[in-house]
Amino acid sequence: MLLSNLEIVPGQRIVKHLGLVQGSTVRSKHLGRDIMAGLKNFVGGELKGYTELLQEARQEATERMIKQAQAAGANAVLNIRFSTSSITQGAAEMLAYGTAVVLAA
Amino acid sequence: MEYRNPQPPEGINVSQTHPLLDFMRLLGGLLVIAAIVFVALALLADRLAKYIPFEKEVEISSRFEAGFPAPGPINAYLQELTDRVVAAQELPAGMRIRIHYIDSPTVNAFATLGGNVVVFRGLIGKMPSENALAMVISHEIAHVKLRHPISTFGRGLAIGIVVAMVSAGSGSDIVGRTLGNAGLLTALTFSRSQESAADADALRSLARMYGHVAGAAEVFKLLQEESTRGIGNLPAILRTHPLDQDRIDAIGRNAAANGWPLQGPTHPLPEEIRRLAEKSRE
Amino acid sequence: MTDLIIFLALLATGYTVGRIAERRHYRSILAREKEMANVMVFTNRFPPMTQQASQALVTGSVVISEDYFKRVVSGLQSLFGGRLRAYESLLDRARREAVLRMKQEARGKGAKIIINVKFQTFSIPGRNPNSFGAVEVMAYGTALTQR
Repeated sequence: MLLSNLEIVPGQRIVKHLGLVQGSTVRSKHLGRDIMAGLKNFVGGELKGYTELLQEARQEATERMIKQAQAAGANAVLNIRFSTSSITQGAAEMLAYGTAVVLAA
Repeated sequence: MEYRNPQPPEGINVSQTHPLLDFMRLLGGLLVIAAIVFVALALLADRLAKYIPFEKEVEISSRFEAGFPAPGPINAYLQELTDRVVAAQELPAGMRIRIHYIDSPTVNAFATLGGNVVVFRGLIGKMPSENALAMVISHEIAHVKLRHPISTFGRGLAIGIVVAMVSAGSGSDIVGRTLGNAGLLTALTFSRSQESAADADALRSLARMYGHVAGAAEVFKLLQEESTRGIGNLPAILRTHPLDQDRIDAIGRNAAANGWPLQGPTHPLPEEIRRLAEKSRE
Repeated sequence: MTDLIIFLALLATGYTVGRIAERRHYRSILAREKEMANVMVFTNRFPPMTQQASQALVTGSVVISEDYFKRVVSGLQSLFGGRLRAYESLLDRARREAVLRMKQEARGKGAKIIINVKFQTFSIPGRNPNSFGAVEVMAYGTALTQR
């Protein structure tokens, strides 16, 4: 499955547009990481725990979007956009959405 | 170029697990972990609390000393009896026991931080002899000698900290409060093994004081009678010092093993103490 | 003890009423999605047709609140980490509802296609600083009408 946030794929032709596909997930880190992050607030710097959290969320959201695209019969998703929002303290929602298309070789 | 919008299948962005099952699983997991943490903290606090010197305990307890009532004539007699028990109990150097008398019909006695022992009028009223009263006092002094109050205090504190962290971490304040109440319950009573250890030490002191342990037999017979009265009527002392057959058997075995007779002449309580008995029977 | 009883009562109410409301909402969403299937949405930025078309910005937004049961379950789940399943269904409903409302507006303008669709999610905090009260999802795009 080809993923791109471009409008077109250079060198390939779009045969069918199959509409909006979305993948989203809401994730949180466990208590231990929360406490470490709270302590890290004193010294500053990268919160590795939360970076991991958002990376996992992005991974999962993208996988779900791909699943929807596959169900529609597409072989590529173009014009991908990501949207993050924090739900409660320590939990974040990640949304990945794009247009599913069928590319000809 | 074809433009279509096929309907995506359900269940990709939503989990299909039943919410109640989810909830039960989470709750179960949390309770199991809480139980393990509580038990681990109890063991740890027990071991570490012994390292806190007794002088520190007295310092901590001096902060709530204002709660104890001013001494009176009853107190003078109790302190005299306590000093006799202390002489027989072989306390480590620097440990001073102060006894406080509370004029309330509650049938209970307890030991707390800093060597402070509290006895209620209701309990004194039920004592058939001085030996029995000496047994109760000796049992509470044994708790102080074995550092049980500070160990329970440390355990309660550790649990309190863990509960505060968990309730701050979870979004729900109710979860935190329920765990907090559960944690408090473990801090209120001494464990069964602590009670047995105090029993053994008290028995030895009683034998040293009087040459026999009739006082102990009297106290336990009394507690057994009280416990058969039914759950609704359970006096405070049985709620905080659970009585079971193991404890009674242990006393019997201990006395037999050490050759302390279970019968013997008992000393009566002085007149004004006996008058307290009349007062509390009202 | 009364604390616990109140908690269980709120939990039970949140669970039953919440599940009923959610099921009803999903049924309505599925019905409307079938009905509005002829208004198509894409995230492409360039319009598909080369003929003249009039364009208009269309939006659809909705605010959906959590129920007590969801809040408690998510609170427990966030202790262990991982997916917050209760909130996933909440956000899914909100997004699909927002898209349906956007389609409704486009149909009102006589459009059959909406392009450059984007989403915006925003959580509205609840009374307790640790919990979240409601989530707002807005979907917006350009609706094209053949002239």
